[in-house]
Amino acid sequence: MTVDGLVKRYVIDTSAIGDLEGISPSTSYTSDKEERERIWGNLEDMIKADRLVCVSAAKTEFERRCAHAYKRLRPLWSTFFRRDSIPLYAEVQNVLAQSSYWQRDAQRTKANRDKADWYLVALARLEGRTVVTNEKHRRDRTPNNRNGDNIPDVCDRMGVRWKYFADLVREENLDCPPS
Amino acid sequence: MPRTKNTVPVKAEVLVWARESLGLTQEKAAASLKVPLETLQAWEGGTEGFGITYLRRIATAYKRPIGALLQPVAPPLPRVPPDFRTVEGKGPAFSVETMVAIRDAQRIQAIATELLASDPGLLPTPPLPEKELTDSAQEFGLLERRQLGISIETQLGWANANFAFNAWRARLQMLGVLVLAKRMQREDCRGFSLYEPGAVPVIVVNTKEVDQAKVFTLLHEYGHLALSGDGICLERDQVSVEHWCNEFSSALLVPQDTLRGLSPGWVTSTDTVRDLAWRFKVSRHVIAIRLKGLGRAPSQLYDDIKHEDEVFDWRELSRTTEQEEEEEKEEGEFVPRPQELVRISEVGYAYAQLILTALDRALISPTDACDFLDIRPEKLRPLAERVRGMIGRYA
Repeated sequence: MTVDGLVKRYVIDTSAIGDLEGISPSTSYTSDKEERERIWGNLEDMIKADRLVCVSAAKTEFERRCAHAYKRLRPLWSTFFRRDSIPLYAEVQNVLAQSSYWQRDAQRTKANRDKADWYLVALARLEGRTVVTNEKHRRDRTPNNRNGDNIPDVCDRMGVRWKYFADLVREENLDCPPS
Repeated sequence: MPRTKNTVPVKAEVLVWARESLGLTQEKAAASLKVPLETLQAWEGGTEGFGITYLRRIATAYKRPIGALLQPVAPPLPRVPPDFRTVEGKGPAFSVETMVAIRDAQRIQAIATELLASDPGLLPTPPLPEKELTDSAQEFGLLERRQLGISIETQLGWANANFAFNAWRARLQMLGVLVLAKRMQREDCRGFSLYEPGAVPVIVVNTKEVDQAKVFTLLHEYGHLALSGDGICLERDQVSVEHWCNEFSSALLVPQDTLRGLSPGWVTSTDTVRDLAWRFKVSRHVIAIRLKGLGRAPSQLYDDIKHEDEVFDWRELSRTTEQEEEEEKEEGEFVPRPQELVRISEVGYAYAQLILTALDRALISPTDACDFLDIRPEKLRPLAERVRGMIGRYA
């Protein structure tokens, strides 16, 4: 729960929530509904304590990709989705400067579809949080799928801590009943 | 740009890039943003900054995500398709809708090209034919017709122009050409093609056109791709290129021998032209020009058709899907088409198939697939089923 005496705080990606929700059977975290419910309960506690947040740029992604989670978190939206700020934008600029792949992405992405990835890494850097994602690090990808940057690749480049969702569950005992 | 705690860190050069990449003048941009021209010029000159509210407003007006405005440096302006360029070599000034369509098409081309670099087996990519203006467009038209494998009997037997468009489109996609359908201003263009050595060739047709026109545009743009093998450039006489592509498209769609056999001698009646156009599933204009070329009709026939267009809107008889939907909305009978069907008709089955195969082969995640297809996760399976059905029906 703590690192160097400080409470660990996280910023979570939609890929992690999507896997908890079992959006894609091949990458689903668990098929056990009770376990999923226990994890959700603990995540909600973390959100209430400001230990787990997301970025407002992910709101549309949440709605499109994890509709159930999006509705479930409705009472916690104001705490969960961090509002954009000028310091956050400045960090997004720093993040984009570290990845030409993400810059190309920014040029190609449609209007009103800001990629949450840029903001997640920026927020983690700004607030000293750890990114929770299920996007795969380059070393964990198949050889013919190592083009481009995923969240962990850019985190490593920028000295931002990150972890896969399964590691968060284990380290934070999220599959135990909420206290 | 001078930074204060209330100004966003947008680089002046990036702001200029975002405006120019949409083809907007400073005057138009300022009007769209509802700010004085001097204010926009100060932002672009880096002498003044702006806050979050204007950042959002600019992103909306320039059709960009906010992240694109936060880039550390301005990228080069996107390349405009060569066949858009004017004869004089002047920069084109298109509507925002058309510029966004070009950008979307370039995005799809880039995604497909990158995926194919990882796994060339995702899409058949036989080399495109390489032609020059000195080659006969007529002969090439007949040759390509055989390559596409559509007999004249098959073409004449198609139920309507919509089926014809989908069938020709499917054939081109089998040759590894991505065929997209995008909304663009009719005044801007009927379609365009994207060619770059090493990149997947792309044809885009305007959804605001009727199917007969889309069929012709499709093959016309395929002609551009064939010519692009040796590179279209500004110095080349663009009129000749357009003429060559029209010749090619006409020869392929309306072979001379077949037209000669079906037309009753000397043709002066626009009714006869309409009947022939219906049989070939092309526009009356194409038939009139072909008949004149065969020495079977006077020049006046084409003028008569144009005159009819002025006094009677033939588009009423062959409406676009958009027009039909508008009417249904007015009559309260509109049932929206399923999202997966809308997406396939926009990006084409070949691109959809490419993304689905990349997903099957674990080259991309389901999240990527949804992003690349601009579709919700629950629609991926229905989309895959539709794609399979479409391949069986047209290809």
